[in-house]
Amino acid sequence: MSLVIKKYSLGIAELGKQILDYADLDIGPGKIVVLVGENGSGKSSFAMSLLGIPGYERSGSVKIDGKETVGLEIDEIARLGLFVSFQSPPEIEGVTLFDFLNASYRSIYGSGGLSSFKLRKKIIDAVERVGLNVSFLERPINQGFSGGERRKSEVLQMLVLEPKVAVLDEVDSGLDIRSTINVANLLRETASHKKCALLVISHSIEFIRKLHPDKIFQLKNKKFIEVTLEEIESSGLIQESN
Amino acid sequence: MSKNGSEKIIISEYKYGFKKPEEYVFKTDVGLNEDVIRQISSMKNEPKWMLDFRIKAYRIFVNKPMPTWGVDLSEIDFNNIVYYLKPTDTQKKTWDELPESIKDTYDKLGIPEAERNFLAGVTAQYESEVVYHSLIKELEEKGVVFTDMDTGLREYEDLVKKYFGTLVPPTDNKFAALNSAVWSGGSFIYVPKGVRVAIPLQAYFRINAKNMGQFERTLIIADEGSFVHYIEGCTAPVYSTYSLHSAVVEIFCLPGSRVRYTTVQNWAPNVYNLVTKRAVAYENAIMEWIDGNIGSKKTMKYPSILLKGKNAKGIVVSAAYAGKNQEQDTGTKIFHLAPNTSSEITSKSVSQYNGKTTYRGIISIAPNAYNSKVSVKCDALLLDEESQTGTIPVNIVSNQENVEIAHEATVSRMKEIQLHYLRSRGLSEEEASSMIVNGFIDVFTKELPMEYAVELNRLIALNMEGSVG
Repeated sequence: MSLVIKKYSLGIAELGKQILDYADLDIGPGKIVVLVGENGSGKSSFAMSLLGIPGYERSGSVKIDGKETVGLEIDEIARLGLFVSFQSPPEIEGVTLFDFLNASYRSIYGSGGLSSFKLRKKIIDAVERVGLNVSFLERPINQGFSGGERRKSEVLQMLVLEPKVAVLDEVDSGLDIRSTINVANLLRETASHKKCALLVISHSIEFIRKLHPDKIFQLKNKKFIEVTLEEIESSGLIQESN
Repeated sequence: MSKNGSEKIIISEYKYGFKKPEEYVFKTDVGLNEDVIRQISSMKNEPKWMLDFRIKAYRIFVNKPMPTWGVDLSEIDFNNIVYYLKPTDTQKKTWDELPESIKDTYDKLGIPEAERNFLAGVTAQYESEVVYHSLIKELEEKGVVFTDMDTGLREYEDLVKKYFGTLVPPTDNKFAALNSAVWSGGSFIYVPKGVRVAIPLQAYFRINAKNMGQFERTLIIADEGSFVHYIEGCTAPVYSTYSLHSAVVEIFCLPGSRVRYTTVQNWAPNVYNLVTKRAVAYENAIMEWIDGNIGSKKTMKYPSILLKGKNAKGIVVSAAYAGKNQEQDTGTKIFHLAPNTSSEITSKSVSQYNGKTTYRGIISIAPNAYNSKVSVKCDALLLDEESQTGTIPVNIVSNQENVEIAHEATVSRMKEIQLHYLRSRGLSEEEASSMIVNGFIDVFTKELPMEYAVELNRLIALNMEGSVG
């Protein structure tokens, strides 16, 4: 349940843009690390690059529980236990969230995981925990979902799939105060109960406070620089509230 | 629940393309002439009017030009086809009695036992058969006729004579003429007034497997206020040594009746599938075509509905998949011929590799068809740069009075981000793309009975994987 990033360099060839240069980051089991940074500093690109999504030039090492993921395919990395939420998850016609979760769970855990009956129970339980109606499971993925519903659906997927490492990219944006607190609590539980290593990207000071992160880093000058809550509060990098 | 869960089956080329020596007891000469037709008719001990019908149809066939639209049919050589082949002289009684070669074929196909028995023409003692026999008994008590077309002609000659060839006359098109001349097998169904058949009638369960012919002919008559759901064929791949399949289906929905006709065709990739399907719906009747096209080399099929009585309704839900070297030219024709008639058309097509799908539709509103409603929705999904799709809708509106026509057509491509998203949750590339495709055609799949829906999803995954990587 750990993420160890070493000498990670990341660029977007198409834009001729360098995001990271020999950067290191280490998140242990059950730890929560927050990543902040200016708009356009490349936080989301960094998150996507961890999944091995094409279009990024990257080198260095990204290990999940000691296993190297750089060079692997997207689904191989996912099956090793990395979960990265999407900021704008795509709509997929005719595929219900339930069927998707079911298929995803099976592709990660095989027949060794929960029985169909227990998995169903887990999915329904997770829907209620994120504050969505159970009928949501029968809707096609992301079709007609509001911004808040999309965020909750991403968190729901994390709760069901129980990854070893989760990267959550602005899952709090567009949520009301109650939902923000709820999502923060769910992330804390995921870290403490499931020993998941969490990397949370956010612009909201409220959300970051509620998370009680173990460490906060700022993406700056192509490196991860450790900062304190007080430092970022006075830096103007983050919003006082949504 | 998980209809979209696909199974990992890797195939390198068409799985069903192996050949077995033919076994037959009677076969006409190669090619077609009046003698061949007389031979077929006499083999079947048909009444003279049917022989006359065949001969007349043959002459029409000879004189009719090939269609000048649709797919390229220039490859078809009518002189190089065997038009009638009687596979075995008597029905085999059990699976064990079947020749090894046929058993072996079905083994390779990996299709379920019950389906094999059907395909092989076996009357076996399986549970489903027992269920089926009691169903047949129940149907007989209600006066429902469900048999093969040859038996139908023998035993219900008056009924057949009244309807046969009246909705799709031999003059309709060259292939309808050909079918009329050489037809063999198919289903004959009659549902008496007010009888509602609760269980779908499946050709698959029928004891005589005669409908599996190359030129089958199906006739369904739903009498007033009756209901029947007929399922033709199945998603199991159909191996064929023939290069041409040309069927005719005629359906009569008498006032207040409802007929649902479900097909998923999966012909081998050497087959030209040229089928004429037409239904007429009288007052307050409902006709539904649920039509899937997965297999064949080229298909031309446009299930049509004549809405002839007031308040008649036509529904067409179709899905087509065109993979490597395939062309699916499908659609529908609806003729609104009476007031207050309505039609709903939903068409989903998927093209991959150099496959081509075309939606070809005609909506016609007659002068007296006021207060009619039409809704057409055609969606096409392209999986790669090579694949092609087209939409050719034609509206013939002779009356604008309170007529509503809604037409919507979309063409979309499978998006990278969709694949990335699904893969980021652990699905392989193949699983992700088949999930997207199966989701896209879900409005069609939902109309199928559960077991077929599952089979169809697997089939799509299998077809797509056939050339992936």
